[in-house]
Amino acid sequence: MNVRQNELRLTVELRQVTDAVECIFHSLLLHRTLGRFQYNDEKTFSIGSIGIKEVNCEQIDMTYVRVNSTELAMCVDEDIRQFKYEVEEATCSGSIPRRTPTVGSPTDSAVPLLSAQIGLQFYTKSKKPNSVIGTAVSWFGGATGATSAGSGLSIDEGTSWEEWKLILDVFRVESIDELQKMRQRVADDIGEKVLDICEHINHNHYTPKMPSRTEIPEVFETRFSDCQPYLFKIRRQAVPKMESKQTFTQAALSRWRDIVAA
Amino acid sequence: MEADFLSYKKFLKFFSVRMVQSLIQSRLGDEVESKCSPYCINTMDWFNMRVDELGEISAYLKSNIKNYPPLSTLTLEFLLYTPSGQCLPLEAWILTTSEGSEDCTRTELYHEMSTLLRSVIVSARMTPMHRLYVKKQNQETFVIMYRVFENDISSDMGKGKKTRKIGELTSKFGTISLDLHYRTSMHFEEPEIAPITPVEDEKEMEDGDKTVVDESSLQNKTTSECVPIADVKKRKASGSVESATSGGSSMSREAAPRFILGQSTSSEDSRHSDLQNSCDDDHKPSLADLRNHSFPFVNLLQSAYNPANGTKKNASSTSLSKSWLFRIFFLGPIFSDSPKPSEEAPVVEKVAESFRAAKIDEVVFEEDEEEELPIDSMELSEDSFVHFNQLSEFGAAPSLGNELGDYLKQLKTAPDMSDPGDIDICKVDLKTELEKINIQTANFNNFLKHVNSFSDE
Repeated sequence: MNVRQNELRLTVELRQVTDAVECIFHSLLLHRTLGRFQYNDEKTFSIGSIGIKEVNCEQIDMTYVRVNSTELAMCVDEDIRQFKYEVEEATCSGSIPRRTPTVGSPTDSAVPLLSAQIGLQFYTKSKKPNSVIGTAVSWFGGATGATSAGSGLSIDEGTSWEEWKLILDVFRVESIDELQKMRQRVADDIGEKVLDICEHINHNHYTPKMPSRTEIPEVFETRFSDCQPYLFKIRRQAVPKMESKQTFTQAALSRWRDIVAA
Repeated sequence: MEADFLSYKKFLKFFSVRMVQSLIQSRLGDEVESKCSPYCINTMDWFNMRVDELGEISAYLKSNIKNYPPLSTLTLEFLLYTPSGQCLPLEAWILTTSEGSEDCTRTELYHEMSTLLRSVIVSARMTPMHRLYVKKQNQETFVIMYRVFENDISSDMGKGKKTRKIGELTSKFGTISLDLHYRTSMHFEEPEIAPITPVEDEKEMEDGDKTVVDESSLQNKTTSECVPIADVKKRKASGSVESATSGGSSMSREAAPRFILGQSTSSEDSRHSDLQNSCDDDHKPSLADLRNHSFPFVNLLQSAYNPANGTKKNASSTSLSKSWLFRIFFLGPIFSDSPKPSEEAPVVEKVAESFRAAKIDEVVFEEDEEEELPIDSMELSEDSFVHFNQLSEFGAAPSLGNELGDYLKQLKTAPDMSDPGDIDICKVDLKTELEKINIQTANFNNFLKHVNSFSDE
């Protein structure tokens, strides 16, 4: 199975980071969340329904919808809040290395701050952990800032089947007028991106097949009481990952993968 | 195979209805919120999505859409309408189906349609129209309207038009496509400022038959070419669509929708075009204007579901509903000439009287259409959440049973207690009355003894 990798790029003002990420991720999760499964026996089941909630962005002139599950929203928003904190920290600290935005300035006096990445991965847990390591960690190349939506398992234990990487070019504007322009501009951009997402999602792509009762934790996140998203993970990378010295285990693992590939 | 195709048709019909409901509700300007239903206990939501159904929209669809995909194409179009009568098409959502291939072995169509419905719900908030207009509708500036019709020829979206293929699902019965066309340049261009042509309009309004004749040509026209807004305006004047104009002429005032308090237009309003022909030029508030806390959308439901009103009025409304391919439906507060209170009073009485003549007896909101019991007289189909029994005259419906009807008749014919000559309980001699009761009780006891003696023997 090949993982589908999708990349989205947005230019935002620093204050808009949270709204932008929430809008994109919640729109994705609405597509990838089902109602709770209720099994009648091992194979047959019925599915509950998903409710929606409209959310008005604070710093962007737009509204989005998310799954009306407080538990799911808190789980996602906690990661996004942490990401925002890391971005702010990186912009304040002169010592932290950071990527600079490669896109042009959105307004006349906008100051480029950094380019940050955050990703949403959907995966299935594998019965054979060692067989799929390569696919699961391919994109972000590690677990920088990654947290599990589930029980703290590493993504290395599963197979990623869809990945969405959001690259944010973060700027700062000083004037109210410019911020107002950014509110509208970013809303337009996000609108187009989300329409892109919808176009992409509805084209007969692979999604994991519906599991049996015993297999359900391998495909779906079952800890939420009112909904059941596919297993997902948010990976943050506000600043570029520092190259660290390989441990003996990592070196051995790398060597083993080379041998297998050969 | 045939059963599968029927399922396919059913899926598409339910999908169409939910798509239209979701989209229109997202344009109402109200915050949408529905709760997750973790377990399906008694009800099952189609496509595992909770989508509330507004009865008015259902009734509108029932009146105007005869065939759903795959039998035809379904287009939902949104338009911006200003107090000056300008109309700007903003979006068109087009659901089409094409031939399928037997090779296709995909079996997860239902699940994929569920995902597509989510995309519809998400996309509805992402278009320029939603960002710019939906929450800013009011009487002074603009409102958003919609129309649903059975072809894929939508209005021109101007120079900056964008097209998106929101979804394309393949199955062995056909490929389902949902396309979105939307406007990005929000400027009124000259051809879109529809001129009002009162002379032609008056002719059409005077001749009810002509409306019926015209509808076929209109339908042909809509299937053959894009209909400019000017044509839509003509249909408005002929009863096909309602318009709002701020002009001072009687014609423009007749065409102006009369609606207040932010409620949508209903069939009551749709009948205006018919009623207006016989009314005086001055705009007078109708029930739809005046009602405030009555059952919402009662009149549209009435026109949509009650085939029993086989009067001339009903005949014309049927013809209207057919020609209402381009009926525009007001989602927000509508510009209206506020009626003067002094003129209102007598009309209120009249309208209230007419309202009493038709009432809704029972409203049942069902979640699972499959479990609905068909009621022949209502012509209910499985796609509606709304069930109701309608009475031609209160107290005369068989569904109420004879007892309630008789009871109401007795109430009506009961003697007036305030009439002179009636018994005044305060003036009665209580001793005499008690003696009478005692005598009657004794007589009754004797009677009982007599009966018991027979039974003992």
